[in-house]
Amino acid sequence: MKKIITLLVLLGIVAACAPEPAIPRGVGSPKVPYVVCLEETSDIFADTGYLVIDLSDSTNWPHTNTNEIIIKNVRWCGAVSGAHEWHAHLGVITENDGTDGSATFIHDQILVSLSGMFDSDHVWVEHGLNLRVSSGALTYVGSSITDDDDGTWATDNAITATIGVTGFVAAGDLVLLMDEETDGSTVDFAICVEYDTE
Amino acid sequence: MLTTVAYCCQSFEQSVRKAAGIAPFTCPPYDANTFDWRLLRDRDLIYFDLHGMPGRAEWYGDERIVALTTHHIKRADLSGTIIFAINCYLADEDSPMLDALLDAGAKYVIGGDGRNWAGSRSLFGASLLGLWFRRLLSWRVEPLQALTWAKRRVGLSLHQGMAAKDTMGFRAYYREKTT
Repeated sequence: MKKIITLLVLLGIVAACAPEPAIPRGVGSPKVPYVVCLEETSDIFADTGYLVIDLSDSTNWPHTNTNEIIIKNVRWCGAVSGAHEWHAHLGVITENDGTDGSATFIHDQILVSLSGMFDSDHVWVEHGLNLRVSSGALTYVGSSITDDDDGTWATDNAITATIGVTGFVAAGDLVLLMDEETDGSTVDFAICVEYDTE
Repeated sequence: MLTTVAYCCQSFEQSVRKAAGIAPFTCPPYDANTFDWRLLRDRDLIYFDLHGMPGRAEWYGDERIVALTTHHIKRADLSGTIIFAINCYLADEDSPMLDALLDAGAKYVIGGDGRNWAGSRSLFGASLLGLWFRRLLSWRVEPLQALTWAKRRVGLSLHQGMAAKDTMGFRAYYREKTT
């Protein structure tokens, strides 16, 4: 019995003296940005909305955190079939309900086909642009380019998403709106977005 | 008396409390959105023990929560402040965080390149360096001399040889002023 107690005490002392492991103060190679891409080749001819990043869906989208999107780079190209005006908007859902929703846009292109094609590559420097939505507005963006009370953004309206399925938008999601200003032509496009979430 | 502020991963709080001599702000619960960058102003010493990532313009707390970015550092006037940071990759070539700290006016930035090592509870490696560096500063030893002596003290440490050896690579970085 005495030997057992002595052994246990010795083991306790050894355990207490065991060196604590050194922990590195780094998280290895950069894991971001995440990238999502969408290609639309079906010659759209009317106003159409797309879900680029579903912030709350970390299952189908590659990101982990779900509080806000940090957009870093967007590469966007496409072609219009005729000399009619289209507006291409990239922005964030600020509010929505079962009837409609609103979006504020952060990156716009006006497409009036003379050459038939457009190509845009935009980088947000350093940390990127924080697309946090709070109280129905983007916290770090001031933009008068909005799409208000549009049924496209209703909570139960399924729209095409970058991950190859349809999705449902909510506040904080990154969306794209192809907006036909003048009737008469169709548009195809491809977009890739590099981003992070926090 | 040395005015100090410390900001670290929540999991490193025990060791930072000992090394920095004060209760640190931790991430979590603080993060890049809630940490008040104005706390970095008018300090003799700022002690960081967060996670770095190669080439990134931010530091992280536990679970990769963003703790601080170059945006915050650039808004804080760090004139005359000495920065001691255990964070990995701080002294890498083209380190955005090192540039931001020096651009903000830091007198010296003490840090190491690549991975840096320390404990979460006890002091060894880079945290032991931090303890002795802070003590020597408080005894009014000139910063570069304090770093040299603190490294000698770490070199005597028998505990965690790898961490101690890596810590020998810590350097003082500063901007030369030109007239």
